[in-house]
Amino acid sequence: MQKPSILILWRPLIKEAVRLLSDDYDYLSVLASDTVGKMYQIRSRSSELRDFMCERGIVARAIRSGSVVEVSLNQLPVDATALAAQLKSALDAQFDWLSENKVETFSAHLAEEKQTGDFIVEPLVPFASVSMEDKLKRLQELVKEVQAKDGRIVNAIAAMGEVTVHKLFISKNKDLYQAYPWSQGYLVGVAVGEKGVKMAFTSVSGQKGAEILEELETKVPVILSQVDDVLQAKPIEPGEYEVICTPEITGLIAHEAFGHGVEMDMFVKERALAMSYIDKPVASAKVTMHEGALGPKNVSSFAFDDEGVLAGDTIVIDNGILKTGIADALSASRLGILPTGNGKRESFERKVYTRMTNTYFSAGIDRLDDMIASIKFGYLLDGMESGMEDPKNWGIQCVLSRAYEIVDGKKTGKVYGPVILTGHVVDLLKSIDAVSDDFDMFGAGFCGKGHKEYVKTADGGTYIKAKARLG
Amino acid sequence: MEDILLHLLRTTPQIHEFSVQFRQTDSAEWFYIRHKLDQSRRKSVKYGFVKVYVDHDGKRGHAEFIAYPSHTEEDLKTLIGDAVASAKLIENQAYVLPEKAEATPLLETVDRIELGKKIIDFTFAMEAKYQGEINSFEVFTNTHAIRFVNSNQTDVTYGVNDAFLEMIVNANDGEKEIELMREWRFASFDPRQMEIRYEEVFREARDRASAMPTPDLKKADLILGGENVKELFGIYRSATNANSIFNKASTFTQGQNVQENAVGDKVSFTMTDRLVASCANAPIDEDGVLLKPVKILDQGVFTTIWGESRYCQYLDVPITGNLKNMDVASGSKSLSEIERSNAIEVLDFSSFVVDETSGDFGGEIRLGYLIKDGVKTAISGGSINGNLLELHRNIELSVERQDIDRFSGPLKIRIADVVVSGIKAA
Repeated sequence: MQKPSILILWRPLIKEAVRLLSDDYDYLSVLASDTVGKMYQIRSRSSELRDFMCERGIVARAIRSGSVVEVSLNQLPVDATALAAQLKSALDAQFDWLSENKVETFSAHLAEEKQTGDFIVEPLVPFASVSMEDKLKRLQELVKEVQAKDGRIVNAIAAMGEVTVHKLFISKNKDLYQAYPWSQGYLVGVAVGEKGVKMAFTSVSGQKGAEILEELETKVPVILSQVDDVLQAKPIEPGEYEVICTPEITGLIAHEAFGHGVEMDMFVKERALAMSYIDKPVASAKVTMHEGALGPKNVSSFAFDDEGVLAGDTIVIDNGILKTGIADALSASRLGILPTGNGKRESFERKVYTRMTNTYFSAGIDRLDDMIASIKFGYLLDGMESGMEDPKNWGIQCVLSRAYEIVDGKKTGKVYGPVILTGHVVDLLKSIDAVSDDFDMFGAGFCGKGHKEYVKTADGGTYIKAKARLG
Repeated sequence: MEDILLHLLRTTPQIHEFSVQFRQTDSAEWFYIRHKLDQSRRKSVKYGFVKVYVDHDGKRGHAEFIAYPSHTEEDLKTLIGDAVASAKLIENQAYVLPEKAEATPLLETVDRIELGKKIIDFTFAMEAKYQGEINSFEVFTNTHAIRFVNSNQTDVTYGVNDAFLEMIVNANDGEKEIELMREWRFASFDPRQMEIRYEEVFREARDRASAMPTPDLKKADLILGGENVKELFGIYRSATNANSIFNKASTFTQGQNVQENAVGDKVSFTMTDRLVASCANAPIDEDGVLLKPVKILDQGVFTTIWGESRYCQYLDVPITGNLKNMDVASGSKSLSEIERSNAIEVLDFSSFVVDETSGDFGGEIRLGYLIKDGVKTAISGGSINGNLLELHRNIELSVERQDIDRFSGPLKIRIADVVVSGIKAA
């Protein structure tokens, strides 16, 4: 059972406040969030236990004559009339300011169908069913095991984050509530080698409960192998190579290349080159890419987004052809299209942007062994560190921790890193000539819009073979 | 919430020490697409960030939680009870909170909406003056009223104001349109400094529009400026921090000459409580340590470990507190010497990635300049990478300085022999 959220108490209060104000605005909605979470982190020499990803508050959005204003609060009065008055005062002050200063505004009109519903996802193993003591003990065992197995490791870290999201969306036509869990865990090995301190990282994540710990416990051999690899990694000779990307790196490329590239708030700003490539080839015919919270269950799978739009599953690239983008409700209104369920806020304190949820390349029919065997000289790329988009000019930057050398169709055992993969998105995607039949999703990271507005997203896919510039 | 929470913390017998930072944040935000307002926002939120410390079996455990205004007294009792139970499960080496600190309150107030309007009007005026093309921009003006209380009778109230501006600028060379993104966080609005930044970004956008592909130089001297200097020097900040040293994420040792056999400038820096342009100025840190400037690196020699009270106690070194601002001494080279030939200067990365543990850095070049035979040519594409701890034997720092959020130091630096992966033959 989910722990009861304060949103159960707030629901009638907010509904009544919205009803009282509904004639004052062309549109009014309130999103209320109550997210609870804990992070358990054990290091070789110290431990931490703290709140993680928590938020509790409301954001009201009003539209009057096309102008959009919002207010975020976390100090709510106890009765609906007072709440309505508090919201009206904060919203009207902004409309007054716009008119006094003769500010020209972008116009938006949000039409909503009547929708009500409660969407509850229970975890397989509820977080509360495993005691704090047991969680900490199991993480401590992992730290001991990792450190005991490689004397070069000077600090091992095992961590588990558990989060339960509760969201309520109320407008004139909508009354939606959802509760769902997500969790993640990671192992880190900090080791000292000839070239100083190096770090390796592996993770697990999903729309899961405390069962994530069991998954994490299978990752000890993975982190030990990665520590060994990063300690022997050498700088790569810059150049263009045939490469195979692991599903983790494929997911990063999908995310940076045509995830950010098709966020349609960028279309409104004319910041995305993709808007002029709809129905045109942008990738090899072997590539099909999806984006949507209805995709494979992971950390950003939900029933409705932060604008009360039900989750979707958008085919962005279909056999190499760019079909459409993803849109939040305001951007969709301005573009004259339907929103896709991709309006997300970092928290109730922040603005909605078009954001990714689950972004992935569909599986193909090629086999990984055959893909490796087909490479004369190249690299298998693994270990996502970071990525950056450039929707206007279609540049891509992916920082990876490891590149494993392949010569004459076989891995040589030599490792290079860290590696920066750069290039032109379409050149990279059109060069894909093999897509494997494997599939995996990864959701341990956070995604920013520019350099802020961090939200959880998941991405993944298959092994792909392509040509890429490495440096 | 404040009084009830403090009363409960003070009267819970299992708690040996506690600290709370109450933070009230009020914000005004504007989001523009070209000259039209996309939306306007206001925010008013309050939090109590609570740390509870429990000693048990010669060890100390602590747990943290966030108190909201909507928490009832019963909720707070439950949260404190959970935190005590959690802290009892954490077994860290013993340490104590700092003794009572008294600090002069800093309480400057600004009119957030007036400041925001000033920034918006200034932005449009600069666009017109320098014939730039702004695609979109976001303005945030924030005031934070902070009260810090701990179990050792420290009770300090202070205020912090800051503003944030993110701007996307376009330029067109007739064939293609490009964009550059800039973001600035500042404590106070200085039109003179801001005008320099606007003029630069409009000029740099035009340069990027006509940039040639980065030549494949394999290796070159690299010039960095602005925020990228701050990001890169984060490697020194992290390597000298008590937490990093205690947790073995740094191999630096006190007294070590970290730039052995240096042939360039030797780095000196101080961690400090206040800097002119910093948004992180504070009289005390999150544990209640009264903050004062501390010299950390002196001519390449690591003189003082700095950091949180707890880790300083673990290492048995003087407690400096969690200082937020880095003040790096100027170097020996003028800007014209730094910008001499046979180098590439990178102004804008897709994302400048710095690994503070290993010292690795790198990024894709969105805009740079090839400086050859006294001529600067705009370049774009490809990437650079290196490791500061391997390359700082030969690093040059400018005499000229910059003051930005959390950093004061050389305006530009030059690092020899950085790997350059270009996209056309050199």
